[in-house]
Formats: sequence, structure tokens, C-alpha cells
Amino acid sequence: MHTGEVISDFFKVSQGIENGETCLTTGWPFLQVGAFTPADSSGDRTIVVLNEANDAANFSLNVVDSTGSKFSMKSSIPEHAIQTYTV
Amino acid sequence: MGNVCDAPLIAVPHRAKGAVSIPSQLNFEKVGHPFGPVIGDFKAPFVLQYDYGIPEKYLDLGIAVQPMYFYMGHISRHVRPGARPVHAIVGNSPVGVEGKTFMSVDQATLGGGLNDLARIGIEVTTWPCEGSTRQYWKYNEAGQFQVFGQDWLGNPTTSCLSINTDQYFGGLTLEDCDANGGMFAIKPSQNQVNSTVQYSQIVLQNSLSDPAHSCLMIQPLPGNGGALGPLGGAQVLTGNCNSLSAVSF
Repeated sequence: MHTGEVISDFFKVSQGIENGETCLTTGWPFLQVGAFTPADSSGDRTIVVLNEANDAANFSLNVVDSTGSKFSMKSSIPEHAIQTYTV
Repeated sequence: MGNVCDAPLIAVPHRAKGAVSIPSQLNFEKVGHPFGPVIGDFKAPFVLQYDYGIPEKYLDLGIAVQPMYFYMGHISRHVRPGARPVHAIVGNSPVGVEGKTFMSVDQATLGGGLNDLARIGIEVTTWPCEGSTRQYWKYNEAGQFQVFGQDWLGNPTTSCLSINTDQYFGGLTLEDCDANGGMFAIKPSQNQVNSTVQYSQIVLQNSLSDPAHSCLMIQPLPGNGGALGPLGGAQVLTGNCNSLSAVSF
């Protein structure tokens, strides 16, 4: 008898995705994100982060734009909260 | 606040100021749902605002604004017509960073609090590992993958990875352990993906299906998962034990 995560490397070995481990999940994860680009490409992108958990979470936003340039930003979200970032 | 969004009904304790000839409470606000008492019954508007975040100023207009209104505001305020969703997912910690989203290095147990999705009928899918109770399984004495949590009223729940795929979802779900729980054996994978990692395969035992086609496997989403990408929300089912997803656990 054991307890813990049930981890698969399927996407790592089939598609070569770095950090591609996935875990068997009941429904969906506590921390979720959605991102949108505006019709006008000069406008801000919108990133919405939702934390359904009873615990706060730290995360980093890694944004890659259409030109391939990247930027990262560290942030945190309280328990049962939703945040919007425009970048 | 609790998960008020999931609550079937929230009582509206009074009507718009100045409204006449409207009963103080309509029947549909009181009866007919199976999830327990109506939340907010007999509570004053300022208590509803304090306890559940339902703004008093809207209650005065006869409108019970629920948290979903504010969720939607995060999208509608900044995402304008013509915008397109782009690839985004909460991923694993990058290489070199210890710990997971809800589980720091010095933490012994998975985080996030009690799992409110450890319930019968919830679909089982694969996502990046976040170190939370939504991904915490007990491989029990019967060989079942069991989860524990509570519903939004605080009642304890438990359920098991199902024996059959759901006729609507097409994947495995959480079901009653005794009636529909799958019993699995964990074995070293026969076909090795590479020589450095010993992977496992997870074989369903209490089934009349061919054992060679009873292995837990992952069904990638169509369209490579859309904006979530391949790592978000792929289905779990049983199938060919030689398939790559069956030998990569």
C-alpha cells in the first residue's frame, strides 16, 4: 500500500517536452491560467490566474511573444483568488 | 468564503428597496435541491456581504451578485472583442527549482487543502504535477487508486479510479470503490522506453477484457490540447499494454 502521485512521462518521451511529466488528476488542478492576445497586436496581453485551493501559491509567469523574446516575472496568489495581469 | 459558486441556491433575503407585493421568499429559493440547506437563509444583507462577498449595494437593487460575476469581470474587463486565447498552462517547476506549486521542499505532505473533487462522477485527467491533494492517490489494499476529500458542505468524500470508461466522457472517472472501482497491478514495463529509467505499467485486474489491452494509458486531446497544449487535461483510459503511454508511468 502506497500513497502519492501517479506520474507519467508519456509527453516527455513521445513529444520531447522538457518538464513534461504529468500527474493523474481528479478533475483539474487547483491553479489554472488562461491567456489572450488582443485583436490589435500593439495592445496588452491578458493573463488570468485562478487559485481554487485553500493554500496560497507562488508561481512565475513566463511569457513568450510572437517575436520569440521572453520575459519572466515572479508572483504569488492568495487562496481562493483570481488575478489578472496585463503585459 | 467556501465554494459559493457551487452552491445550488443563495437566498435573497429581501427585495429591491421600495418593491411591493412580492413575497419575502419565493418557493424556488427554498426547496427541491439535494445539496443541503439554502446558504444565506435569514441573513441580513450586510452579513451576506461579509460572509459570502455578495455586495449589499446590489442586494438593495434586488440582485444577488455571486462570486462568478467577479470571476467573469477578470476576463471581460481586459479581453476585448477579437482577442484570441493563446497557449498557457501552469507547468511543472523548471529544472533547478526545487519543490512544486503547492509543495515546498521542506513540506512533507501535498498542499492545496482538502480536495473538493474527490467525488463520484469527476473525470480523471492528466496535468502537470502541482504537488496538491488533487493529485494525491492511495494505492489501497485492494489494488485500487483511491482519493479522499470533502464536498463543499464539509462532508468527507472518497472514491476510486473506475473500472470502466464513462459513456459520455469516454475516459475513466472517479466512482464508488466497492461498486465500480478498478483493481490494478503495478508491474515493471515490458517494453522499455529507454535504458536509464525503469518505467511501470498499471494493469487492470478485475476485468474480463484481454489483459494485454487492460493497461492504464493516456489519450491525448484532439488538436494537441488547444490553448492548454498537450499537457493539460488528457484523458485516462485502459488499452493496449504495448502503447507508449501505457509503459511510461
